[in-house]
Amino acid sequence: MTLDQCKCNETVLITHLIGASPFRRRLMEMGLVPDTNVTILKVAPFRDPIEIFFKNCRCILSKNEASLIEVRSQLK
Amino acid sequence: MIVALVGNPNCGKTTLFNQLTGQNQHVGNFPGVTVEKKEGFLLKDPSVSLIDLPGTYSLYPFTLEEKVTLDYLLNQQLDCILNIVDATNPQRGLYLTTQLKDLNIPMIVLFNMMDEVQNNHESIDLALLSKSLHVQIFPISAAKGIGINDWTHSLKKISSSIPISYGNHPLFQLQKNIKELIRPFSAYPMHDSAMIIQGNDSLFKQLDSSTQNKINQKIKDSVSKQNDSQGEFISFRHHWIESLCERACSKKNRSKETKRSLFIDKLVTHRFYSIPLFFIFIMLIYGITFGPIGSFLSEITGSFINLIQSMLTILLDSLSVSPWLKSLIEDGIFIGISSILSFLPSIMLLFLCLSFLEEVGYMARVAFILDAPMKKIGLCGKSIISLLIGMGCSVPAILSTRTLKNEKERKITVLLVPFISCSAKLPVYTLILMSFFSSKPFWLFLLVGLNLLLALLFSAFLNRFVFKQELSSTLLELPNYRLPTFKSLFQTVKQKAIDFIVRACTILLIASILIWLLQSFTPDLQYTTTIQESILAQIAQTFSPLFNPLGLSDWRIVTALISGFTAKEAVLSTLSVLFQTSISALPTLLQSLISFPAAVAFLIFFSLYTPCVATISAINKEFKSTFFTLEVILFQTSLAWLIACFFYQTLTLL
Repeated sequence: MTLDQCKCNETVLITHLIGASPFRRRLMEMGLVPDTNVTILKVAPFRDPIEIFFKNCRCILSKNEASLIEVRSQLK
Repeated sequence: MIVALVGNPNCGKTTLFNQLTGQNQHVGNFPGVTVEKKEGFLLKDPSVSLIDLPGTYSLYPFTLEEKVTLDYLLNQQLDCILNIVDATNPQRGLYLTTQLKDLNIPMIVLFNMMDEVQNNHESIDLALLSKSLHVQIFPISAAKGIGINDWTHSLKKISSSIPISYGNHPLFQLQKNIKELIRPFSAYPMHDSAMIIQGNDSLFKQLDSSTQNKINQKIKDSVSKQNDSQGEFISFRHHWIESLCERACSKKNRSKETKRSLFIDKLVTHRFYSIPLFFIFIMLIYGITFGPIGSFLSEITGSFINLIQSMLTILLDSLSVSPWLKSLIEDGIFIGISSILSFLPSIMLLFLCLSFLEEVGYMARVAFILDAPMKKIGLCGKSIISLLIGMGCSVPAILSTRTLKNEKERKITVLLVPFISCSAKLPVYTLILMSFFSSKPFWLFLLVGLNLLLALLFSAFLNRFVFKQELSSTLLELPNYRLPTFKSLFQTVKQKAIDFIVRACTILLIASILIWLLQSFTPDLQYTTTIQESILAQIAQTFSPLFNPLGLSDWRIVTALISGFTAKEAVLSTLSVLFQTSISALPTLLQSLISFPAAVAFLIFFSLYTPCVATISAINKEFKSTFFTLEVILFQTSLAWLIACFFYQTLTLL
């Protein structure tokens, strides 16, 4: 599953980031590395981008890039 | 001594810079306010020069402005790096700190916004962080001015940097091994080693092939899966920082500020309400600037200027100066400048509104709600921020596009900025609207709307036919809402007012005097009071046939439009000078001079034609092509002419 497929208010765990683009690098540099919890907070009025919460920080991220982030739902 | 200020976007770097140097620059609550480096001297110790560098998340540059920071750090002889970390989110900021440590330059770390941390009853063990990172850390609050000078005592004592030890981690060992291999070729071996592991080729390609092979082998041995040395290296750093922060920081819940921001965003970025709300905010800005408050302030300034004028006339009469000197002072200098200054209150109100939205943190929300539709026409959410800044002035708007990663989006944004009605155009709009229209804000909104519509069509055209498609991406931090301090708002508005007055007293003064000279002398250089005989009349009459189809054949109006190339406000001062009348008498004069359709054509032509000199040079700097810049001038002017002509002809037929 990738991050763009997740529902609002769902918290997931990053397992892997796909590709080798500069954008992937930037996502990781900002802290979206494997084993990080991410919560989807909101989807923008026009369905893109999404708003996410991780490591005590809020970011907006286009769905295109969210699809680079592989996640799995958290076992509670 | 040279000290460079480095930190993430939005960590309070510019606020601190202003506090330390007393310089008033703009502080925005969205990433990307400092696009060029700025320099100042410490108020407390003028021997220390402080450089404010653009905010960056990493030393592996991603945007143009981040490259400015890296290039400066690598190429300048620095005595010390002053690294600012947002204490409310230390994990984010410390990633950059670890990279800065790789440079092996003496460094001091400041934990900013400590007041917010304490306010949330949380604690950070700065001693532990300091020990693990081998740097001195000082707690400060830049906004409140707490502790901001404490670090200066340590400045003189710091002469070297002790590298961080990440223990036995294989990737740390790898970084050290590669560092030994490249040491002879590199000024910053630890940093370059990290860059090579992350796949940055620029240094790697300069190495000889045997070193390259050794490095490749070492990377292969240390990386576990799929040859992803970049991902593993960044993860390793982040996990190291995460475990350090878990030990040093008390358990983090969402802070009061985050909760408050989330609550406000329930409305501000709401699925249905956010878009109308955005338009309400824009209308409010225009309403405040041109509605009752703006007009009231303008009237006060206007009567004050009239008072000075009558005093000036009495003074000049009593001195019995020669007629040409009296004319130069009264009709050349005074009328030109005073006509502009009476709009100072409106323009300050506009900047007050814009900087309030910016500092509160609303701009990043606009980027969020409008990103998708903007992508459709080749822009992105962040472009809106540049365009909104363009409501104030085109030059900073064009500079702010450097925070855009995507080159296509950046170029289209630059090209759209001239379509946005900047504050300098507003006095001229107001004059025409006062003369011909009853409900000012409504018609103004219509005109701005028309410009916006054209901008969107133009953008869609560029996106479809001119620039090649590029994959576009969006990643932007949403800062917590922060109420700007009265002081910082006041400083911003004061700075803009000073800029405006300086422009009035320099560019506009020169333009006014030049226009006066041209209109007061005949081609054989005789002083004349009949304007029809002047040089100016001759020049303008050659151009005026071009404006016949717009109903604007009067040569004085043509001259005014030409003078608008120096600065948009100059159109107004030129009109005042040419008609030898004060601003308050201009509307009646214009009514008798041009028809209603011609007034509409004038407004449209004026709002769209060539950008002013300052904007042109900014565009030229961004595109680095004189040919292209000339095209922009030509395109804008022909577009303006065509649209204005269309409206004039249609309205005359009706």
